[in-house]
Order: sequence, then structure tokens, then C-alpha cells
Amino acid sequence: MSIRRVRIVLLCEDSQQEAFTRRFLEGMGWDTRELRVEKSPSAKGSAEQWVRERFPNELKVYRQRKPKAASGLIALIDADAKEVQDRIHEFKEVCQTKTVPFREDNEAVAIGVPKRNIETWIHYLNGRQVNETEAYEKLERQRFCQPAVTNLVKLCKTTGLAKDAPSSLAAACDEYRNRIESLI
Amino acid sequence: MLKRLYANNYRSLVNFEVNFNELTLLMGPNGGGKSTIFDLLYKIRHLLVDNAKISEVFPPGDLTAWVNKTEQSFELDVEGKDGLFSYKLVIAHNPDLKKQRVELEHLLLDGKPLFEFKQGDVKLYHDDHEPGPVYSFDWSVSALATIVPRSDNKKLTWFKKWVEMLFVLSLQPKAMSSESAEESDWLNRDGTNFASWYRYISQEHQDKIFQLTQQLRDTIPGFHAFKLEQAGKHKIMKVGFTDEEQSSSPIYFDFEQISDGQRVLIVLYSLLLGLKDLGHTVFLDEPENYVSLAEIQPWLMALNDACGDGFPQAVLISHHPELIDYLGQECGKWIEREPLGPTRVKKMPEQIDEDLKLSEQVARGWTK
Repeated sequence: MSIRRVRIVLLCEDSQQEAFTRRFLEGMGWDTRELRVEKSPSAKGSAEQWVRERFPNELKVYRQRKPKAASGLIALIDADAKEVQDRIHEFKEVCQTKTVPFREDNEAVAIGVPKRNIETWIHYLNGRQVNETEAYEKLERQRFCQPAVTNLVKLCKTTGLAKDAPSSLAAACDEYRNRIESLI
Repeated sequence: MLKRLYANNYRSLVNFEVNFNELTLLMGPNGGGKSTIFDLLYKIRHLLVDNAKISEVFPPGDLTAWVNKTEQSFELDVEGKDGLFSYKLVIAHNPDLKKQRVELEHLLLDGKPLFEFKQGDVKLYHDDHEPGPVYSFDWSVSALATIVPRSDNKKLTWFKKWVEMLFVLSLQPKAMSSESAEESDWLNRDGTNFASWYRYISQEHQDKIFQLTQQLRDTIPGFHAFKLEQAGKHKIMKVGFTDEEQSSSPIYFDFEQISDGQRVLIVLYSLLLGLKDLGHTVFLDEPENYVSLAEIQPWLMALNDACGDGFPQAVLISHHPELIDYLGQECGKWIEREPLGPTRVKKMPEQIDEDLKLSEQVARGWTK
């Protein structure tokens, strides 16, 4: 291994999103050393705003770096009471405000929007019946998400998600497959 | 796992209490008392493990300058598989005679006695807390330090072993030696005996070496492997480097010859992987010193993942933005004091703007 060079920047709201996504990426074969985590300074309500506001700058940096090395950008933001597409549209709007063109189809820029939040995915992957409107309890320790991540990695590598999977999780898996796995 | 530390009349620690989690980051201004906490734990370990004299470990100079009392007290609450161990030590200083003695030393498990040493008399208890032998003992040392393991004091022995396995570190790479006279299961304060500790791990826990070697190959460009070379009665620790594809034969350098940053990185990853499942609590003062910026977050991620999962507990001190921003929000404790005032654990600085990183706020001194 040569000197560490980050290939994927992960923008996220909090440590639970980080623990889940980072472990997923590791499970899919990425090396921790290829990841750079940038999480919101505040895990409170404004964390999603921080991710959104930071996104255009990271997108710009991604475009500058891309010609030199295959790189990617992943942003995680909870849907809360909104729809996945609404959240993605909010990213587009903030890019417009900052005059940064929104991501193109051929750019390795993925947006994951857990609905209602990351705990919804974790509980589903742990075998619980979930819906995407209820707020589920947080894990006692962030690392306790590992069994759920292991399950997700296994599904991604084999059969894919079941039909009853939360639609936001299915959308995020598509984002990963089409934008990260295929383009980096 | 150390849950709580209490200290009174020790340097800047006056009626001071701090609680710890699986991973704790101590932050705060210089002179706030963070390193004093580490010093104290190091001394308690020295007293209990090395059977050192109280006068040597806790000289009168360690009494709080502005407290006109001659009694010092310390308490540790340690969570183990059998329950909560509570250790208390009270030291009486006699300034006229320039002498110190143990006034009280006891160990409880979930509030029930395992050991008591009070005013020169030791009372032992069995694991079921039934009273055992009573005898007089020398007040100038810890009586707990002298208790030998037996079949009926396994719980007390567990606590002593936990203390023995405390690593309190402030790594000084320039002082690290490549020479090892013998194996050591303990890494000393500045990490200077790393070669001896590595020798111990490679002998007693060989299974960990493969993973460590792999990790270091991923982390340090060109790293190949360690080698312990016989040199008379000693062994010399060598570090092999090869080209990027690992295709050339490795060239071995003395551990002392590699860079400060490489030595610290080697120790940091050796701690994470070498101590896995061995039950140690590790206190690390500014672990990021000497480490290149790009290497700090990957180690923090590995530490964060390990804590509570094979690596029972880590307590860090740092002023570095990478640590403050990655761990501060969830694992941070703010330690500070007024000039000539006691050290206190304060509320973490309140975030004044969602865009301002905690480290930036600290850098600006906007912590109040």
C-alpha cells in the first residue's frame, strides 16, 4: 500500500449514519483508508441542513479531483417526514443557489435518503416489520448496526433486496450500484 | 472498564469526579488537569503493581497547594464481569515528620467487602464476602498490592489484574529503543520498551501478529514485517521495508532508525490489534502526535470500531481538530479550571453555529 489517497468522501449527519454506511462500504470491498468521513458538527436538527449546504462544495471538489483519480461522493440525509425525491430535489436546489451544476448521470455521486431515518433500515435488516413513517428507537451503541449491515451486504452480493424492503433502502442500493460501484 | 474516578487533594484535583465510557476524549485548555488525571492513574497502578512505597508514589508535593489538609483520597469504580468494583485509598501525610501512610484502603464488589486495610489492620474477605484472616501490616505501602492470588480471592485478583493491565501512555518515539532484554507484557508510559512488549505479543499471542502485519502493510508504505534479531543476550527489533509491489527482498532497519511518525503509527496499531480481547484499558495522551494528518482518521475509525468490541476501553487526551471533530461531539468531556482553582468536568462547549466545527470553536476560544 502506498500513501493513503481517499477515493470516497462520505457526508453524513451523525455517527450512526457513518457507522452504517462505512461498514457497508467495507463489506462491499472498500478499504477504510479509501474513505473520508465528514459528519455534521451538530447531531441535532440542523445536521441535515449541514449535509445539504456542504454538498455543492464537495461536488465541486469531486469534479476537480475526478480527472486525476477515480473518486466518489456519498451523501446521507434522513428523509424524516419528507419523500426521498423531495430530499434529492433539495440538494439540487442548493446546488442551483450556489451555482454548482447538479450531478450528472455519469458522476459517481450518490445520495442515500433513509426514510424515516437510518434506524428504519437497521430495524428492517434485523428482521423487524417496519414502515417509513414511524420513528424507531436508536441503537444503544452505533456498532450494534453490524448485523444489519452484514445482512445488507449479503443481500447486495446475492439476491438483492426483498420486495418488502423499505423503498428508500431500495433507492439507496440503486444509487450505490449505479453511481459508486459502476462508476468508480 | 473504569467507570468513575474520584480524587481529592491531589494537585489540581479537589473533590474531583469524572466518569468514563468505552471511548472518552478529554479536551480542554492547557493546565486544565487532563494529564493530571492520567498521572494519578499511573501512580495508582505503580502503587498496586510495583508494591512501591506511599512516600515515593505520593510525595507531599502532590498535595493541593491551596488546600490546607493533609489527607488525600482516591476512588476507582471499575466494571467487571462480576459487578462493580470500588477501590478506595486514603493517604495521611504528616508534614512535621515528612511521612505518609495508608489511612484506609478498601475494595468492595457491588458494595460488599473483598478487602480492607484500616489504620494498620488488614481484613481479608473470601469471594463470597465472608470474613477471612485479619493481620497487622506496614502502613507505608499498599496492603492490597501484597495479596497473592488464591482460589478463594478470585474477584480481588481480577481487580488487581485489571489494574496491572492499565496502559497509561504518552508516546515518545525518539526514546523508543530497538533493543529488548526480555519480554514485557506491559508497555511503559512513554512506550520506550515497545520492542519488549512486541516480543511478548509475538510469543504469547502469535495469532495477532499476522493481522498486525497486514494492517501495517496497508498503513505504512513499503512495510514488510518485523524481525527480532539475536544480539548477544538481547534481541534487536528490526523493521523490514520493500518496494510498493512487495516484489523486492526486504531491507531491514533498526526500529530506532525509522521515522518518529512511523514508530508511533506502529505502536498505535499494535495497541489496537495486540490488545484485542486481552481486557486492557488504555489511556493515551495525544496519540496523534507525530502522525501524518492523513493517517489520523483511519486510526480513529479503527479505534472507534474496536472500543467495546474486543478492546474494552480507551481514554484519549487531544487538542487536535481531527480527534475533536470526529469524537468530540459524542465522546468528549471538557476539562478545565480557573487559575489556582480546582479541575472540573464542564459541559461541552455549546455549538454557536451549525456550520462551525467544534475544533474551530475551540481554536477561537469560544468555549464559554
